[in-house]
Amino acid sequence: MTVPPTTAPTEPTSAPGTTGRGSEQTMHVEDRPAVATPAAEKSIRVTVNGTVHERTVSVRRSLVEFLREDLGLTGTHVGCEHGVCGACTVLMDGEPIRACLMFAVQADGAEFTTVEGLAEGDRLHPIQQAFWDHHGLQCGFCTPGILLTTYDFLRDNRGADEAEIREAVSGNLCRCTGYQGIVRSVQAADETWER
Amino acid sequence: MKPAPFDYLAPTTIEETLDVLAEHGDEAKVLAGGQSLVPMLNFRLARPAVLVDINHVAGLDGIEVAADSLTLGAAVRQRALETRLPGQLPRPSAWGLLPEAVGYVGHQQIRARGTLGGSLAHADPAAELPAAVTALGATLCLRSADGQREVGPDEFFEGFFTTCLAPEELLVAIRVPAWPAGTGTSFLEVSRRRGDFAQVAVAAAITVADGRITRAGIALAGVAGGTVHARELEDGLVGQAPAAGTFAELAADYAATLDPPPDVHGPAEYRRALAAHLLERALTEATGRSSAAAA
Amino acid sequence: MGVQTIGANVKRLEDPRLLRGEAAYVDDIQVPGLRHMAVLRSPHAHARVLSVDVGAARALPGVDDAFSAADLGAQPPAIPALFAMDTFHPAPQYPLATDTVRFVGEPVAVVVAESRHVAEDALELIEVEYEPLEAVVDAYAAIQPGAPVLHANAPDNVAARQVYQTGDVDAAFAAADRVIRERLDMQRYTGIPMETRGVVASRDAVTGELTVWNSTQWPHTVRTILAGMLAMPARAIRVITPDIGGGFGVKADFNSEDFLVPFAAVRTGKPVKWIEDRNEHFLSIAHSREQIHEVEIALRDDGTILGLRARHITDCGAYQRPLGVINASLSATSLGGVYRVPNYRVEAVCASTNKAPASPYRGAGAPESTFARERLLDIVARELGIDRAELRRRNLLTPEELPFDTGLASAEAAVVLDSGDFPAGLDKALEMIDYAGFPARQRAARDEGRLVGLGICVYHQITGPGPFEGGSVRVDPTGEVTVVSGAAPMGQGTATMLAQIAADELQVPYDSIKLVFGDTGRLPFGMGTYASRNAVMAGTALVLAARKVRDKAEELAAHLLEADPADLVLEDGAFSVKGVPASSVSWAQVAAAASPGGSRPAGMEPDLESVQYFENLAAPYSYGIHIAEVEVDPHTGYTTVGRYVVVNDAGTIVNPRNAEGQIVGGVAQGLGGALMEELVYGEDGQPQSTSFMDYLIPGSLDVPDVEIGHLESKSPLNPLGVKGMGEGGAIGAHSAVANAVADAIEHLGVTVTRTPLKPAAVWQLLRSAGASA
Repeated sequence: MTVPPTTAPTEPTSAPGTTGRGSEQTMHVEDRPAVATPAAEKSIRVTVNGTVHERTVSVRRSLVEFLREDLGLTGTHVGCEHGVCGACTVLMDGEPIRACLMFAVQADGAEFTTVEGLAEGDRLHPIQQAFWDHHGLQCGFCTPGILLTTYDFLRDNRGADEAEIREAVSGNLCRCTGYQGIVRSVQAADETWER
Repeated sequence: MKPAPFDYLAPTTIEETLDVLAEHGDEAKVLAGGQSLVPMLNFRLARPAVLVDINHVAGLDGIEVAADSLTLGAAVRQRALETRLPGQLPRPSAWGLLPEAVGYVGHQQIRARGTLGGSLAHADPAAELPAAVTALGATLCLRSADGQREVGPDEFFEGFFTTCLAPEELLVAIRVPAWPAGTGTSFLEVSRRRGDFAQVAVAAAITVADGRITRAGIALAGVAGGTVHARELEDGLVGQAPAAGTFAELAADYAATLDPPPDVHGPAEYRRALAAHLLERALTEATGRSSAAAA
Repeated sequence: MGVQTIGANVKRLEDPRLLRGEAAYVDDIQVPGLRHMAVLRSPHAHARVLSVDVGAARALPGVDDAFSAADLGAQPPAIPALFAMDTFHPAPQYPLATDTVRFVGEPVAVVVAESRHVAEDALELIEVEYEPLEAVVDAYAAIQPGAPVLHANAPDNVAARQVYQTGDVDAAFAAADRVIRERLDMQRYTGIPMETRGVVASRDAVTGELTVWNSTQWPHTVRTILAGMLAMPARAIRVITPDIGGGFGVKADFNSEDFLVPFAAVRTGKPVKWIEDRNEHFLSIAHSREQIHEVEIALRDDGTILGLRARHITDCGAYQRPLGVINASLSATSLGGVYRVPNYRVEAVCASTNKAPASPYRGAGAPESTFARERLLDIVARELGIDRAELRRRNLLTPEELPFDTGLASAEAAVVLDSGDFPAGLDKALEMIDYAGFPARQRAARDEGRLVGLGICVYHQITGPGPFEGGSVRVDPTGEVTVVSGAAPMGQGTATMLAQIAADELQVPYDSIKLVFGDTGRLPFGMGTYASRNAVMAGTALVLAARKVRDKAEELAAHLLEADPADLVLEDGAFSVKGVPASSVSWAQVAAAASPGGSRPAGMEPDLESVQYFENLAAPYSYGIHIAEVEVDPHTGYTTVGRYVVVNDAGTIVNPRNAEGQIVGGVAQGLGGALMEELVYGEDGQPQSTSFMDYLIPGSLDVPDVEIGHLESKSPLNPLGVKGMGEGGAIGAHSAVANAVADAIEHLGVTVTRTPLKPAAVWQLLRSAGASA
């Protein structure tokens, strides 16, 4: 597991909204105050779908609230706020995680992919296309989380059988589809996604 | 389901963390993977004044494999136990019980953040990792600004979501001793769904030499207010020859001594029956693997 | 060739937005200056409310307002019940508890603040003085003398009661060769959509119009109820249903917050949002299903059914919300299924208990009655020594007997089975699962110590009940088609389905049509999406509107082409003279001519739009046959569902793949009900299933692949021949799976009489039979 390189500085390193490069903004350990004081707000810097964002956030703001409300990326959904349903699944440094079980302050320095980062312009990602082609969704609420779980799974696996696919998506609850369409869609994406 | 207000600190060294804990004591709560703590915060079942995030602390995520022990940093992610650890272990190894057990912890998305130490310090009676480290006879390394101490699982796990950790102490590492050649392990669980907490889980490490059981480490989750170390069963096994009839009898006798709390999923007698069934299977599987391990 | 998309597996219009994360669910609605509401809920199942003090909450920085029932006026408005029974003692819920709380989770006070976090902080500052009262949580116990009383107007805790009967049931029982009785219980469980409920309300400072975004399945009904409760004219309220993340019936309700959010917006003058959190959802979403069935069946020795006599006790929870009696009414009128039951009497009893109010969930009474009947039929088959498939076949109505008027009428409609071929459906399903080969499969498994079983369920469901649905079709001068529907779908693919219907009527590509749903500002009257009614009601309203538009366009095209309308043909987006394809006008040309100032025949009004309402009280019935094969682990009591077969008949199927999606999704929910899901309450009325850790919905590893066969008995009740089908999967699966588990273990000498058959329950049955390991 990669530990994020730094904690947030106590003062913003640049005005919110500016987009400096990561290397310029990295704080070194020796720059940090020796004794920290607990804070109710902190500045963070995160990369989401390739864009760097700097914001000051309340420390009790969850990552999913931050993505949805501060960054306006409402494609990530809140389904339970206790880590069971998987609707808020996003990729953090490439790995699927529950965005309801992290505070935004903890995301400082990390890179995220959300559902908004999958398609390239007008072209759906092959996984999205497969879900469209094979009726992998109904109400669509769980779908972004399932797409990201699938992205991680297919990136690392080829030719998975149905049992492996069902296992892979077992951390994402869907109430509409009965999962059959999801399984078909993942199988199809396995074929069509060139990776 | 929003947490009550708290202040946040993210120390970067163990020493700084210990200073912070010393300063805030009872008011502080350590945030590791957060996969259990954050739901409790969201339900306002936990309401610390200060949250001490140890995710940026250097030196807590090491995996060190030595001949006589495996040392794991407390902040090693559960996902790392599952994906990174197996490749570093000698084969066969009783330490394989850890990756086996961790596969039952939640789902991949949970294990990506959840840590070994976090699970142990949370001490959920139905959790898998406390049972696994108990069965393996691990040593838990605790530090505070005043010093350090090492405790065994029996001392560490005090019961229902409680451990011997003092407010100013931090669990920094878990050291798992090597088991002799001829040791086989088994981790079995029944849960309502994949990834749910255990209805009952059994962790077993059993050494067989010259056709007799010479050493056994067995622990259960989900059968009491805390992780259960099945000492009586271990004692009963040592000296026995592995045999189906013996296992069935010992498992049933031991399960009969358990007093699991009933819940929405089932009554106490159901969990006792599951315990007997899983114990018998785990003993069979572990001893079966031990003969392979002895070869 | 022409456009022909009905029956085609076209891709869903809905999906690209959903897949890109561009949907707008209610929590995605942002309004400048938005405030957030949180609700203080009763921790008691039953208590007097002696005082509520919101003063300290109001004083917390960041708080705009805090209020309790005392602030709702001297006569707080009650949530109305829309249906009644012969005996009916309304037990209305007030948006905030007035003097008594009657279930854990009942709203007592609210806070409006700058953030949900601060609002929840402020809830902790509200002081409520309660005087706990004795609670009653079991419906059977509630209606016994001496039970704690919930409402003074019903001292026996019977909120409603009605007897539904035909024939002479007592005579039939007196004349029967055999009478078999059983008590069969279904547990409390419900829809649990992945998106919880939510409401946003904002009042325009200039016009005074109140706009409400609500994740509701019936925005027009919400508007009507709101107008009454807020004492505002309906024209001043616009209710919009945004994208819905699943509804399954439980969002066709009217809960406290549906009033409280708009009320708070009016009271504070600020836009207010409330998103139900998952804990609140478990506490106060419409619960459903919980029924006790005391059933008796009168038979000839050959298995011919002579009569059914039953009492259903429906646990309605603490209050009757708009659809409070519907489950009981639909259940009591559907116990006979699609079987020949000449003599019938069911007494429906709605009991009040100190639990969350109940309301329909996918199937609405049909899963309950289907379980009572199909479980009983298996018990009958065993006792009479008749094969269970044969017993059913002997009693199923034949196509020659249809339409069949049962003589019963529910609160929604008369029960007249319009069309179908039930025996053919059963035979097809039996063949798909290789029923003939099952005894050998079962014997072989038992020889290995394995417990396998097969379960059959024949169900039917009322679909598309009236009274009406609205739809409009307009063609812009550019030729672009917009359809506005009164439906408020929540994931079914209704936009695609309606676009297919409109495409065929108007001969335009289905994906060129713009669909607008769930907006009272766009259509004056509508009913919404529930009771499997989109295809039947919204679809037919759309057909009526499209045909009006087409007729007018044809007249106009004839004018433009100087031809006789009778000589025109509409195909592929253009009107042309038969045999003279070069002589044609497109929709755009016709619509341009139709626009004001265009070239029209004398006397023809401008514009190309029609708003139509399909008014219909006769509801089509769809039906299906589910067969499950399961294996039960004798050590753990766990059931694994193996093969699963469905034969479905819902008349004309507009989009087969979407229909199959509805079936499979429904099966997962019915399976959940049979094996996993239960809203558990302790004896003190404390709910114990308040998170996803103790209320288990099926995951990807818990459900089988479903094999589906179709029959297509077109309904004579609408021009498309469609029937609804969205609920059927959930109705059939509960009983098919329960019967399969029973078949796996009943040879050991036990009888399955209740669900859920969760592992511990099955294990206890096995242990009582002395068969558990």
